[in-house]
Amino acid sequence: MYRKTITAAVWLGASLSAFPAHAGEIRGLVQVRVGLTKKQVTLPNYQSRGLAAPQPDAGTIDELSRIVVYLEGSMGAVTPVTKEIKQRNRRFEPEILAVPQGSTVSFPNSDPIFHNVFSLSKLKSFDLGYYPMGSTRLVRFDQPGAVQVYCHLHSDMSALILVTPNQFYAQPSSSGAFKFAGVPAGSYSIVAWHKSAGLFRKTVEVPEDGGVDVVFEIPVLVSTAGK
Amino acid sequence: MGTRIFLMVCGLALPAMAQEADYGFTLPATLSAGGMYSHAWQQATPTAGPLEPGFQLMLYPSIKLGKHWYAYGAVDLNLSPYYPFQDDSATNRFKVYIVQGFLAYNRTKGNKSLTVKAGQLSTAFGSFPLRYDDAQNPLLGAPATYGAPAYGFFPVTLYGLPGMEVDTSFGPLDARLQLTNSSIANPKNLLQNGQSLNWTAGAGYTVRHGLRVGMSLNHGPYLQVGRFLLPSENSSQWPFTAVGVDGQWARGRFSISGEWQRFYYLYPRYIMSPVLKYGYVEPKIVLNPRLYLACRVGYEWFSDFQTINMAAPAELTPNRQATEVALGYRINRAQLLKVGYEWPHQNGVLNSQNNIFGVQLVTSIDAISKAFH
Repeated sequence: MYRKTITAAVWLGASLSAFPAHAGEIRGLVQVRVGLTKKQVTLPNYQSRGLAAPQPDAGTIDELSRIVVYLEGSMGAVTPVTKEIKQRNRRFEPEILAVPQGSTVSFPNSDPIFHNVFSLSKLKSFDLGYYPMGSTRLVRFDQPGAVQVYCHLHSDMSALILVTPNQFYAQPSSSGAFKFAGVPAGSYSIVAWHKSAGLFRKTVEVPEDGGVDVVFEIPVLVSTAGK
Repeated sequence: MGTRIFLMVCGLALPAMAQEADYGFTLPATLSAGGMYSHAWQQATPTAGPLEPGFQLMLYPSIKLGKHWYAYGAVDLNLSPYYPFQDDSATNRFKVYIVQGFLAYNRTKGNKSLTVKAGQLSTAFGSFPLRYDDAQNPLLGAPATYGAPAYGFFPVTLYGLPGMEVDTSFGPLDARLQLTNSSIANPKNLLQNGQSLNWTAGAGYTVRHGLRVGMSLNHGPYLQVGRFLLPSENSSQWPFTAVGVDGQWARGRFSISGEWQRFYYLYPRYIMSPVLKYGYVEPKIVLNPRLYLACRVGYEWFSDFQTINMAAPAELTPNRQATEVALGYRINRAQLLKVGYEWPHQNGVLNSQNNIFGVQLVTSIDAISKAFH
């Protein structure tokens, strides 16, 4: 395991160092030092009748899959996209999603039971009502910001949609690396948002040519040396 | 740069951890507070005021004891009268009910599931007990036949019974069988006299996603010595029988649920035993993400009865109808404000003195939970 980690690290180090130093590039790494996501205690959904309710997946917690990174501030025109948040096994998948403003998110129901997806966020409030397995509903997000999404029927289901004002958003790779290319020169706030731990903001100066490195350590560790 | 990245990546390896805990404790809760304005309970207690404040705290302490075992509780702490059905106790009284408290074993595979429960159980008769919580019930009150234990006055107790139950579902079919220590019309705890085996069976069929029809049966002794029964008489000779049919439909922003029930009370020394029939329909529409409108229209029909000492059958009580509407406003994800109005009437005649105006603020409290490693 340790050998594998070192191999991956050397590869990643070499890869990051080998990024072409184009103007306006942000190269980053997100490092999660401790487990941030609480295990969930979910009881069988016996308080309903009818079709058997699926059990939540017992899969492992991948902290990096619960993080998105994006740049704050408007930077010209954006290209909207269509992405998906599934309702599967009484969970939203993924639990955190970044899309540029004007994008559409589809909410397919992959469970044999009903969900009732809703949001009361000021940016975008909606109630998608009841729809069966295999059906979906679309919601368009025009305003940048954070939209919390829940299910009326299953209170432990939640998802977060981060609507960015520009094209620069990413989910870290399995090694924690991410890259924004073609960023205009200037000073920017870059945010790493963890679904449970919240947002972590840094300021980066993107030069006219070349790139800049940024590292997020989540949670932020405060040095106590000398105290 | 390469060295820096190397050191950082070395620190990335976190031990893999399951998302779902096999062992753990969780305590969701619903706190609701509000008030009702009506002259209805002044008929029972003339000194009572028309405005009755109250609250209800529902606690659901539960422990997960592995992949299949769990213990579940539902404790109701309330200051009555909190519901319109508590209008016979017009003084503010703090009450605690253990509605549910059972040990259960569950297995689910694909579209099949099996659950066995033993302990204090919510009745398997009818469908309303599944949404007794104020956060689940879109209205303020309960259907007329559900209520507090009152020896047949409300035929279906909402406060649970000791017993055991098997629940199963297989594709679109679901079924349940519950054995309890006493009747849903005269519930007893394990320390009280007059206990006797009662059974409830139910089944349902999901016609398609969002449309389910079900039925339930309840049968067993309910009379007790000193109240209709002589010491020499056996309560099992005069059982109580309940039959119920229920249906739920939902699509988009609309949902409708409803029940029809028939209760047959056998009494000794009665030539004609009373029958109560009750039905209600409850539509709900979501007007926008924060606002919904719900309504319940119910009709209670009472048969005549005749004892051996009576020359002719007599009316047990006038038929009753009730219409309740409620507007719900979601203040935020956790809080719901309900404003409701109920028009109870008898034989179609309205008596505005009995109308009830109520307000409820319902707060769903996120579960305090702790996974055991």
